[in-house]
Amino acid sequence: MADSEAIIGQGTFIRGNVRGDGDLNVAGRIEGTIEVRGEVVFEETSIIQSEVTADRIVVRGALAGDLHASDSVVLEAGCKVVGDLDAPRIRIDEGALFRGRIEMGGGEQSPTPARKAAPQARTTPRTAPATPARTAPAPRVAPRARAAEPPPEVEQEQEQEAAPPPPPPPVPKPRKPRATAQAAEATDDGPPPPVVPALRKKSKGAVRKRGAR
Amino acid sequence: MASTVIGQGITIEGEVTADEEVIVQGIIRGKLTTQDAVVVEAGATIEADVSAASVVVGGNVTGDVTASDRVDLQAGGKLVGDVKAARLTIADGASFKGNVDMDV
Repeated sequence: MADSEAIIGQGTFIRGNVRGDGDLNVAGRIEGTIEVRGEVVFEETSIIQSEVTADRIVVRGALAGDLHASDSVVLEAGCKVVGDLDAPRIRIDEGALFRGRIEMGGGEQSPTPARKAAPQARTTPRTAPATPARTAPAPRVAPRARAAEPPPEVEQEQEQEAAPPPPPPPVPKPRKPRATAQAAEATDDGPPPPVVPALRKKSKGAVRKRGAR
Repeated sequence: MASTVIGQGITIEGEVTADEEVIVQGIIRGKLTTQDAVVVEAGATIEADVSAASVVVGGNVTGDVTASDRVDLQAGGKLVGDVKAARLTIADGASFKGNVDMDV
């Protein structure tokens, strides 16, 4: 498998059908169908628009089309795949982009071969640890920001609105600032409607901004 | 080092366009175009019009061959089709049928 039987170089564009026995290594472009008995590897530079049928498919580039593998499909970090996957074993690495349906053939496959085969993949150990490092911190930061920001805003608004009438007596005196926010929202029927929507709008806006960034 | 190799068991039906050397050991039907060299190795079959800078034929080629530089038909090679190239060599033991246009 070190030397692929067929190599489609980066500057090569094939429009039509590719089929046969043997491994295929693609760094170029293919539009059409690919039907190979063996392993097909789509390198980072590959741009593929085709239905692919093979024993084993590894994608590192961009691919639009359905993938059918009799053994396994691997979507590695950095790949972009739009299409349906059909294989007894499928691995999608962190950092891979995928949109489509996945069919894994139901109960035919026993779980053990999947585990055994997984370590065979060469590149995965490298890519897998790298990507989690990026993504891991993000979730931690986000929750903190959410938790920290909204409560102060709520308190300020409530204080302002509550100011003209005497401070709402029915509300039991809060132990913690967060409790006030929730309690006030729940009990005050008059003022809350404007308050709550405002809160939601802001919070949504904040989420969108974060999402956009 | 060649960047595109169509291996022995591989068949391509359609159009192959490249800007690098293409080595064919398998089968191509359709059209083969490259800015660099095409090497058709022994055992390979091409049923296509071939356009390249240079073409080396050691296998079977059926179709018109156009080369901006040269066409080499090696011993054991078989070429059926018209050749248009600045230079053409046909080795002893090769078979060829077609017209030759050498831009005289």
